[in-house]
Amino acid sequence: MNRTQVQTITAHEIRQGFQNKSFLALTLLVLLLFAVATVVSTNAHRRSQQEIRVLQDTVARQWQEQPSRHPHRVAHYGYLAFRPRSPLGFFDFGVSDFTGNSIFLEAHVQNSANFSEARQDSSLLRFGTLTPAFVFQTLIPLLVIFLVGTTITKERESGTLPQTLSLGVGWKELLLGKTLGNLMLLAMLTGPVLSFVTLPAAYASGSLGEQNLIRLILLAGFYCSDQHYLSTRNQLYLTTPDTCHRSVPASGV
Amino acid sequence: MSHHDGPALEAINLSKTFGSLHALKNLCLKVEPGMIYSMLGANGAGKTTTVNLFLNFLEPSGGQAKVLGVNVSTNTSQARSQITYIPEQVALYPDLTGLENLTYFLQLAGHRGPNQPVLRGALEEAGLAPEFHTKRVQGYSKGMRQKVGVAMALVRRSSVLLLDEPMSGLDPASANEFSNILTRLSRQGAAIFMVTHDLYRVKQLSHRVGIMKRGQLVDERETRDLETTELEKLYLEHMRL
Repeated sequence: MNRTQVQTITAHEIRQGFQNKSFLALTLLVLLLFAVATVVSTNAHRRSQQEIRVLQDTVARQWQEQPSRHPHRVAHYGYLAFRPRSPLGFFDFGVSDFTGNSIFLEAHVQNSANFSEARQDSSLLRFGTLTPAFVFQTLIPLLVIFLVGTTITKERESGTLPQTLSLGVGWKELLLGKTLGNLMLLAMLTGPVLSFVTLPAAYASGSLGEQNLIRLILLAGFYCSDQHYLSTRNQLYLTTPDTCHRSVPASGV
Repeated sequence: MSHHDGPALEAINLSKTFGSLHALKNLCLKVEPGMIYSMLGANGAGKTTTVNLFLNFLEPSGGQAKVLGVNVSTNTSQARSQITYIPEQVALYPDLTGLENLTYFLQLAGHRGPNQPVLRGALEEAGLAPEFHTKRVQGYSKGMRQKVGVAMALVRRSSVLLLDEPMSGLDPASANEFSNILTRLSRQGAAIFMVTHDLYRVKQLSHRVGIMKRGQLVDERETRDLETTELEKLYLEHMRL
């Protein structure tokens, strides 16, 4: 593996990415949406937490204010338990909307969770809610496809691919350099939004303690790398040395 | 420039088939260091296929292609690192300037931090006016692109140059400059293999000329033994047969 070639290609990809105006415009839109999603999601998460707190207090008060009864009757009176939102729920709601938020606890009966959003809401919920995770899962992969989907074919069409290969650059170096370059480019673009919008919004809403900071960064990092991997995998598969090999010299004969 | 005893370029029974089409049949040729070898032939005769086999852009169906004694199929990167390839249309990144393109490609070729004065010098030597060095390539003519390719060859001091119709579409002055540079590189010991249709340049530049027809090398001559008119006659005779 020639590291100098990989570094050169990586730097070149980043530079080309920053010179691609349509990519930058699209990125700006997606990041704006990401920021909006963060704010909307943080507010929804905070509101939900407050509702749960109020309801839980009400249930606890009703439980405490029961008249003096036989313990068995009290057990049958039951208690409503609400599932608290995860501290990182503002980033990704997870399965909360589908599993139900409360469970009625009573003697002799094993109840299931009730009142899921999916049951009460319209079917639109199944298309996804605007959360930072949704942007990472659905929109940023589209951006990645836009960025890297034609990275090799474009070079092949313009003729720079044979030019590059003729200099002794191997396929491993070329593909690794391009992958690293695009990964770093996306990190450079999404990093500031994550740092300056998501984290402050999470702190302001009180949903993010210090112990959750690393968890959030790891979560976002895994989302980024996973989506980037999934999106680029097909492109890399399509451009294995064998398939490219055959098609490089268009004017073969 | 690497030192190697023996031919810089060698094809040993080199063959290539595409399905039932024999694009190249048992080609045997040698290009010694310092020699300019021109390959003539009609379109589809197998000239570009030969270049692509020397670069290992195509896997040979039979035989071997060697660059400085290295089999290009088994040691592709090593063989390619000795070659400068100038196609009919030198492909460059349109958003970068000529100087930036040159820097990028040279870095890929293993030149660590080639300094700006050297690169500018090479571009000027190749005939690209200084005011164009820092202009984006998207505004370059074909000749200007070729000059960036030539500058690359000058800086790399490659032992082997593979040229695929490098002068087609160049104006006479640019073609003349290009010819002078090739002559100089050959005097410095570079082996040059050029695919062309330009009989005048073949006579002017080459030491040896080969004529290809339907994938076969049908004739091979020393150019000093031929006049341009004789060369043309010979070529047309082969094309008629």
